[in-house]
Amino acid sequence: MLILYDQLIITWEERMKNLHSLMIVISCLSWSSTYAADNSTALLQIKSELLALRLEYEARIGELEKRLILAELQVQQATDIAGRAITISEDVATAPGSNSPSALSDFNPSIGVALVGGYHDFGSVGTYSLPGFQLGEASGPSNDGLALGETEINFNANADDKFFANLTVALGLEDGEVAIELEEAYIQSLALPRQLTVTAGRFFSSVGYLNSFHSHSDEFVDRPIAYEVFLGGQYLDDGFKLSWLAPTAFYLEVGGELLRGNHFPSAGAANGQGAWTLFSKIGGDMGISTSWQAGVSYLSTDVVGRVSNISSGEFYGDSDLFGFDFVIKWAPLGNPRQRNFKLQGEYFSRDEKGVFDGSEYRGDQVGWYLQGIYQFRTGWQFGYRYDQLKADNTGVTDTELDPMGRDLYRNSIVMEWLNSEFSRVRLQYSRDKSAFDEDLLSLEYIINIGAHGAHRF
Amino acid sequence: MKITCSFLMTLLLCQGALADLNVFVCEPEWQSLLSELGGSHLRITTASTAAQDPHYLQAKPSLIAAIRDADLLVCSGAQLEVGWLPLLLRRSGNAAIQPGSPGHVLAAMLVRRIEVPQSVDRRQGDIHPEGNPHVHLNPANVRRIAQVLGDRLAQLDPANSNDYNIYQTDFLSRWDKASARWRMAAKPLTGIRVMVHHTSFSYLIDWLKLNRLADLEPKPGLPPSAAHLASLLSAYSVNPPIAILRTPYSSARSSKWLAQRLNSRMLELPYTVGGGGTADLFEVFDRTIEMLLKVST
Repeated sequence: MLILYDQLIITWEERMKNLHSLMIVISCLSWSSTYAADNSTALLQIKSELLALRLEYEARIGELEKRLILAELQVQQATDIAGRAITISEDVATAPGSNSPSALSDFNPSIGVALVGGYHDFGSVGTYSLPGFQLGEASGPSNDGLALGETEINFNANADDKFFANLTVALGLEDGEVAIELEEAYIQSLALPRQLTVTAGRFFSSVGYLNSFHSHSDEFVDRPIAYEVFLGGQYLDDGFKLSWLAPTAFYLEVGGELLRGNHFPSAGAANGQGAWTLFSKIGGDMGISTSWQAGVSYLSTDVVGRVSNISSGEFYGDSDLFGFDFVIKWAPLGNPRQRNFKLQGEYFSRDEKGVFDGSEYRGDQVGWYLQGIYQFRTGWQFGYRYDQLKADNTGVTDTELDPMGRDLYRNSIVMEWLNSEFSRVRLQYSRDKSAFDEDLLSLEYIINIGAHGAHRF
Repeated sequence: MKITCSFLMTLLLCQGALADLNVFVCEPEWQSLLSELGGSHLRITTASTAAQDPHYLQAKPSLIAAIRDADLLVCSGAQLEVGWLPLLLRRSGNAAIQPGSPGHVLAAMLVRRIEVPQSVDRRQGDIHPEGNPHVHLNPANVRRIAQVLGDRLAQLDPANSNDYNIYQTDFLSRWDKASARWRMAAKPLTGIRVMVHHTSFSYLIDWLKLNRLADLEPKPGLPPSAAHLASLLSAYSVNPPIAILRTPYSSARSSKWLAQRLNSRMLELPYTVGGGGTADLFEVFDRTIEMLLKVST
């Protein structure tokens, strides 16, 4: 096809040359005619001859022009044909061959493992307690010294066109023994009408912002102390969740959960449905560089015999937790690869009414944190967090729920190196005025293998 | 308050109803292609811009809101969006665009992918088991994808299938002419020596038969390290590349460092629609070839 195209170009050029020589002949003839002007008959004859000549040449020029246009048209067609031929030949070369639908994990669940470990220096080692609050089993820092963190194994996949399934098992160490905890075992609908989604099984509650994140995606070694006391680090339970995405131009989601109420901060699984939540999240973009999300949530539990890690005092009664959370993320032109900033904060307020260790107890508690994480170059980020707790409890003098007039707070800074999306190492320093009155230092690694993690907002 | 709310809702719902199909695309190249193929029948939301690395997006609230109403989803696939698209799909509550349905199109799955790894080990970096996902930088790939997408639009919106057929034929004929033009114009580029920041230009390099010497990233997805750059400097100081290519979203730092020392040119190619101010896919190729020709002479 290319050869054809080249030939057409050549013939066209030749014709142009012919046309040129014709023009020269015509001009020569008209110049010689002035010499013959003396003789009128001869002049007339010459004139008529010239006219005939002119007509003849005009006709020939006209024909040449016609052929020229035709040639141009043919060139155009040839280019098209050549173009199509090239594209078709390249098209054949780009046809999806044997490597077409290769998605390796299509029929297997994607498997991901998170490995966490490091060194922690907590100074004086004692029982972890926060005056004014009961603490769940899983609360508190890792072991002092060299220690393995929680190892998580996750399996997930779409079961079929209507269901997604997810399983997470956590392996921890308790008194030197390996303890297996079922963190998540849930199914989720994919194809309900009207933007409804139902989740059933064991899952992280949607209360708060940080609660539904796996701890290995956190930016600090430990959760805010408000999370320790109000949600046991992370509130998970058995039940179901219904959520709905509103048909608005911005993001608006509302939902609720009905839960068994067997896990801290609930306990005893009252009637097998001891807890429920309501939550709503709203969010959007502010220009191309900034995105935000804010949420409110409410957790109400019917607590039957909640004990903490340090005493045998039991709590029976109602516990109602209100939470407000927000997160703002900024990256230049929305590209977080080199630089980005994340500001995040949550506020909780809890009201508890009932009986603790045989006496009437009324609890009024608040906790909050604010943190900023700045990635200043690819792979390096720095963070600061302030968190605080305050309890005003009545009827519990000289028990663990007695705040003893203490104001609990903590300042933490963290420096993190991310080699890739799958590995990170961080150094954290905290000035702790809550459980300890100490300087805390941690060096920790988090490695993910297997399935690519999700970039949650 | 209630009245305002319902008024707002109606307004927003109506806005969506003006177009015949709501389309969610992950990258701007598919936005450009679909607007050629669907014209005013489509309302397209694009998840990323040319300034954003599509691999590192997050499932942010505005994207959840946009994907919720989509009738058709078009993304590159081959794990380019693995960090955020599966999450968006799950949170969308939208059955029409789930994997396996006609409303779910992954462009890379429609063409022959290059750089399909023999074995999958992350020691090689953040590799994609299904091959290189940046498929739009070969015109023949775009042609093949346009054929599928045009047909898919007609299938999803039969009332306007005539229009879609006309748009498709028109686009393909213009694309073929342009492809031939690019092919001719790019003849002098065969074999020119280049380095690339990331594997984003593999299809362009393959199509134009450029001589790709090395990548600045030691492994795909890992930032260029000082040690790796130093080794490139010593290896290519005698016979340096003509140009070091990068996308608008890659950092210029490493390219600059190496280009100065090797006396090579650094080129920020458009990569996708919007890059270098390009308005559509035609301009992306026009500009790319023009920029490469400029440095090669």
